[in-house]
Amino acid sequence: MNVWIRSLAILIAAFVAAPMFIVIPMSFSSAASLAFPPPGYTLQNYVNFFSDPNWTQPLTNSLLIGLGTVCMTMLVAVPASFALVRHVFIGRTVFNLLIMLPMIVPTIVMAIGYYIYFGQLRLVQSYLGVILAHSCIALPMSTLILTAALKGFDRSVERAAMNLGASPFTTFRLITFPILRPAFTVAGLFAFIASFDEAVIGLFISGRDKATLPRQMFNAVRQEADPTISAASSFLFLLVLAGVCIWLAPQLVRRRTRLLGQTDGNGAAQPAAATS
Amino acid sequence: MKLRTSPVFVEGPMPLIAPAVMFLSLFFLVPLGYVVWMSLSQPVIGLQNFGRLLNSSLFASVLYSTFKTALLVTLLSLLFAYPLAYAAANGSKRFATFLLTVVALSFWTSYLVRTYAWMVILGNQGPVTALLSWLGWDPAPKILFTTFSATLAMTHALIPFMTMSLFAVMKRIDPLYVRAAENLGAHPLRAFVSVYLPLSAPGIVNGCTLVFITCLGFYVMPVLLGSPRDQMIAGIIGDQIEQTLDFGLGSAISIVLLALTLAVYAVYNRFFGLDRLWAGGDR
Amino acid sequence: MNARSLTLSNITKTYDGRHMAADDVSLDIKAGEFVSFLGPSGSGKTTTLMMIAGFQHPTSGEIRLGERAIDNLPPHKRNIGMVFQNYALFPHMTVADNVGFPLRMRGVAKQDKERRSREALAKVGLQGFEKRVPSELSGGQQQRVALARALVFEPDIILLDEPLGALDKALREHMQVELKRIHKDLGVTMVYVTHDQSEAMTMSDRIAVFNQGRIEQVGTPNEIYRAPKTRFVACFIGDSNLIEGSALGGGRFDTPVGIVEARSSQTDRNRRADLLLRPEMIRIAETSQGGRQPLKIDSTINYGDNLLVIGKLGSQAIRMRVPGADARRLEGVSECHVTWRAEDVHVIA
Ligand SMILES: Nc1ncnc2c1ncn2[C@@H]1O[C@H](COP(=O)(O)OP(=O)(O)OP(=O)(O)O)[C@@H](O)[C@H]1O
Ligand SMILES: [Mg+2]
Repeated sequence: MNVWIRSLAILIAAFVAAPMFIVIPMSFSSAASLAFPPPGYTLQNYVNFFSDPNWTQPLTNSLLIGLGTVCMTMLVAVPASFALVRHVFIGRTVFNLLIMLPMIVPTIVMAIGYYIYFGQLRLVQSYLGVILAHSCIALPMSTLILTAALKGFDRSVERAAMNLGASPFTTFRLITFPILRPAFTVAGLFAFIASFDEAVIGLFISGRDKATLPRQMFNAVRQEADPTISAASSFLFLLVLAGVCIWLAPQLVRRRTRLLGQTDGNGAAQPAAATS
Repeated sequence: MKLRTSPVFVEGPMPLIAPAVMFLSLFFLVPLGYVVWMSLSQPVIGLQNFGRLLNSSLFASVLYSTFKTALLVTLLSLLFAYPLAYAAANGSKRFATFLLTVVALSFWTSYLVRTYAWMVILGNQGPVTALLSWLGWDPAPKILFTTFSATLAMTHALIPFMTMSLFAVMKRIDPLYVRAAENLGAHPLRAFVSVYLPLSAPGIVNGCTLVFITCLGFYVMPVLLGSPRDQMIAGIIGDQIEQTLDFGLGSAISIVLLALTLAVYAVYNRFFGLDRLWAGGDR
Repeated sequence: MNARSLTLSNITKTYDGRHMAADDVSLDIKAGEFVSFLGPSGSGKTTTLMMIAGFQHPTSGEIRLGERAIDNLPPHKRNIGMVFQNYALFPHMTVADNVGFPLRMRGVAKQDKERRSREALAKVGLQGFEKRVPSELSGGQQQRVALARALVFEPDIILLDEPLGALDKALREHMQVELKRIHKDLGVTMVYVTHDQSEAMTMSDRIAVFNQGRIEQVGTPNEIYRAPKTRFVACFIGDSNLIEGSALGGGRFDTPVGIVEARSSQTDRNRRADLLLRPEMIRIAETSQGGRQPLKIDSTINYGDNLLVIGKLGSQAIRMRVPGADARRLEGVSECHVTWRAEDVHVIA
């Protein structure tokens, strides 16, 4: 490829990645202000983040709400995706659209809806309220992931299991679920992240008691008073960085082994050939 | 006999459909219905909320600036994302992995983290201000809390979206087409414009639609980084909830935003079919 | 192994209420028999098999396994072994776990299970592969695992849906022999779906020929080949010449190629009938036979061991297979006299 395009791509990649890295040095800043470069360095922000109830509580809340959202979402998305992929029924298109709808309606619109509705149900400032709202938000993506995986699932292995004596439930437990486990995991992970990162609805309905981490961060950014936000940002960013690296690692390892296989003849093919 | 030929609703899929239908009815459609109802009934039943919006020059300017910003962000992110996606789709495996990793890193990082990063970078004690005054621009202009800072941050936030939409389409373009065009005597640039660009068009359409729609309803970044005098539509909905407590008006604005969003989707659906939008260009 | 008979009585199946995927299928399969379902794509072979296995429900009709009606048994209670077209091995389990699966479902004790799995794998010639997962096996090996898995729990009957379809020619022929050997050793009832006629001919005790959801004919390979009951069977199996004629009585027919004698008890005069004459039954003659015109040769295709001659006898298109030894006689010749024996002409009513 053209060296100019390469250079341009690298420049843009730098623009995409670099700004986020600034949160790391900032998290060690001793100043309460947003001064960069920091005048001095300290661990105080991290100490605050992990000990100040103003931060630990929202972190715990967000984790709990995230887990609740995963359960709620999967409870709804799994049956729905099986219905969508494996059944033909009246109103299938409408059903599909209904499931996608939360992705279409802007979150701020839903925020005002939940604010009023949950206010009447007394679900404002409760875990349940936030979990229900977040599950709606997470549902479309999780369902998309599950249906994509289900479409590629060969049903004859289920038939084989039943033919060999497994009841429908045993078939699901021993065959369908284990084979689809990666897709279930990814769908669940998406639901968790959708909830954990969701700021708008959390801002309006989680309230003071059950404040989510994004709500706390939003307020901290808006008020520009609490430097702990830097540690929170850095913590979240490092989490993503680690996650992306873990995702990248297997690819690197695979490439590495392929290279090895090329250099010593048939190294990669060895294990398979040895036993046959 | 006739009845059994049509798909059966009752037996098979009913227990599978029921949870989603019940859940979404109770916790999605009803709250959405509340928004519609509030817009028409608060403080009194009627269309007066929409009348107020129609007559408000402030709302008109908010709509205008929302559209302008969304359009600008869409174009800018396309401009940035296209070379990135092109390089990822056509470069060596290693280079592609590197670029996609960067995109993924940005994609998965919370908007709030990125917002905070931009506050530091663009703040009056930040590196950009320092650089400008070092270059002799003194006093350095105010960058943070302007439409510029919000646009910049939103563009940065949405480049990954755009890149992924483009990449999904580009990686399926057979390089043979371009080579064939060049082989037939087309200048590389000409070959790109007449062959590659049209082939990547579905990705451009998908990416632009997604980014534009996301931008229309964007709340966090415009509110935290934008100018308070030049708000976007989501921001003023938030104001109605938090400050003026005028739920009727807030709901009416929400309905306008919803209608705009649905209109964009409807146009997309009319020409391309909605199911392609989320499937990354293919079915 | 316990072999059982299988009886299909007037089975019909429709998926959409209009089109019949299986249409009045009746079939008696004896215990220990090897029966092939042969037919073109979409003729209802898989549908019929799926109904036997319990994955589809007949719209009407009855299926009996041995003495027992099994229509209302769910698939997992039928005790029928099945080898799927794509093998349907469980990708997340080892070979040993795959083969042990049906025993596990039946609550067989661990040691017994392992021993029987090993024996089943030995039967198909796959010792020492227990720890592999299916993706580490070749197509032929996967096929054997699927077979072992279907054998191991001693099912009453084994169904095979085009089990060799995905294998290359040499491996397919090898597996045909293996399958027959296993059938003979175990004496188990087997129902074998294929659309490869030579496979059906070489392996089966009897063949059921399917067409558009119906069974056109059931019979031994010889019966099906020599005495097809319908035009479809005659054309689908082997190469054929079908000559239309009307009966003159006494086994004689008036046809476009002249008066033809056939082995036939049919005497109704003036009835129209199709006469089947296999190309390999036609031979070159030195002189005109009974005043018949010579065969005008349009083209020849050399298969090495035989020569296919395509030509016309009067207005009738005729295909003739000449053995390699006789082929030389046709070099540079544009027509030749032909003959056949009356008992080689079969009348399709
Ligand atoms: N699940 C289904 N839903 C609707 N129609 C079906 C279904 N399965 C099969 N059919 C139809 O039933 C008819 C018989 O199909 P079947 O699969 O039994 O054919 P087959 O003889 O096994 O063909 P092949 O040799 O191609 O496997 C076909 O017309 C097919 O389209
Ligand atoms: Mg079939």
